[in-house]
Amino acid sequence: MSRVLKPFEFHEPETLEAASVLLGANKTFVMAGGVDLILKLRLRAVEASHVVSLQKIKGLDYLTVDDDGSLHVGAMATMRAIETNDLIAESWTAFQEGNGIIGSLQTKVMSTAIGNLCTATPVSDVTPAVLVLDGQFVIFGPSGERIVGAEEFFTGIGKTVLEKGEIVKELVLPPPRPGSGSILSKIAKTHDDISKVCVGVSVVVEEGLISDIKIALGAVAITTVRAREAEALLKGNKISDELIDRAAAIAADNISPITDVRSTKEYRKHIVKIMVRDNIKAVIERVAK
Amino acid sequence: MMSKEIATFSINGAPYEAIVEPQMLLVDVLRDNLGMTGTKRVCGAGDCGACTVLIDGKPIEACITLAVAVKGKSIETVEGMADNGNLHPLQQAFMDYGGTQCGYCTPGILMTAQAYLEENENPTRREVAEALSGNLCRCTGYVKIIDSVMAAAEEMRSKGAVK
Repeated sequence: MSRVLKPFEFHEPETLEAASVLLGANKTFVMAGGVDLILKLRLRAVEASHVVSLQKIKGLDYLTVDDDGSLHVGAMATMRAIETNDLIAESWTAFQEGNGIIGSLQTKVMSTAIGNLCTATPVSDVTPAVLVLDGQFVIFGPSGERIVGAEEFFTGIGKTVLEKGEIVKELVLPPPRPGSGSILSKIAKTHDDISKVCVGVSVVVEEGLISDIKIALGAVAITTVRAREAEALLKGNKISDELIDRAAAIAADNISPITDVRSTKEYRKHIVKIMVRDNIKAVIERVAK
Repeated sequence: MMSKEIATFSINGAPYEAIVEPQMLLVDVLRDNLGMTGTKRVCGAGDCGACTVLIDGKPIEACITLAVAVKGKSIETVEGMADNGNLHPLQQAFMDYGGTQCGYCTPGILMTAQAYLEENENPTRREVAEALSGNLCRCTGYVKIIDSVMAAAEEMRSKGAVK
């Protein structure tokens, strides 16, 4: 890693429109909190002629609930602001937990949730939450705004549907349904380390039945993935330990994680089974309370 | 667009000028341009917390922060902790409770702890450990660091009560 960064021009536009125009140029990178970008520049993983900061655009750090009960997360809302928001903890629990467990206090003060999502790393602790909570990305670009669902947003390691000049303006999480709850947990070497595996679950429980469930697994594939077969097994059925165990085993069977510096493929499959089982049980308990 | 410029920074309540370029990192400007070597440069990757300074009262890592991005904001470093030679309660507690060994991580820990105690004046040991999880220490094993922060928090609460 290099101690100094290579020179670039620095831009601090005050509107999304101006930022979008600047981001249309080659070798130009957007900076929200800067945690990911500065590290990549130090590692020479990217080469920037221009860096466009969003920090001078006023009013992008909001966390608001609209009349329909949806949560709107502005592009510059920090992970720390999300982690310490009681309303998000109550109603969009997995999202609050993902932003809380991802790293150190300093990192969470600097980082934005949307910046983290836009890096499209498969080890993000925020992404599984956005998948199980049905997040929608509002994208601002040269030809206006478009909305993309979380399932479609991520296309590969470091890859999203974002095109040149496009910026994620906000993330929208729909209101929690009656009888619903969500959870997100990770396993890592230390408190702050990048996840070996990260598991998010959301459920809707109606009269002892799992009427809806979503399970998302991080750090086990090139993008965060849904455990659809496990979800299908549980959906519409009565809650039982035996069924949850079977679903957890299926979730683990269906993934093909890799071995890397943080973990082995064998351990990842093993721990996915346990974490899926434990998270389903824990979130059902939460809903019951 | 911005290239080389004479930038003004507000550090520990006083204005400082430095010639900076966009790619320069805050930790380097503090240490190399302004001679404030209290802020340590260690991992350079935002992992170890030794370069922690406060921006508008919140702890950030100066090794992954562009200096030009914090012009006009309030920057606090360990150099500003003592008040006219009187140590901050955290500094005193780190001496009294052996929270420092080699000392290289100490400035960053002091800054994080100072910001955290502003948020939570009566933390548990676990909360202190979590708040400091981004500040690595390879000497102490953390017990004495947490002892120090707990003692400082108590001292600060008792002082607040006197006021």
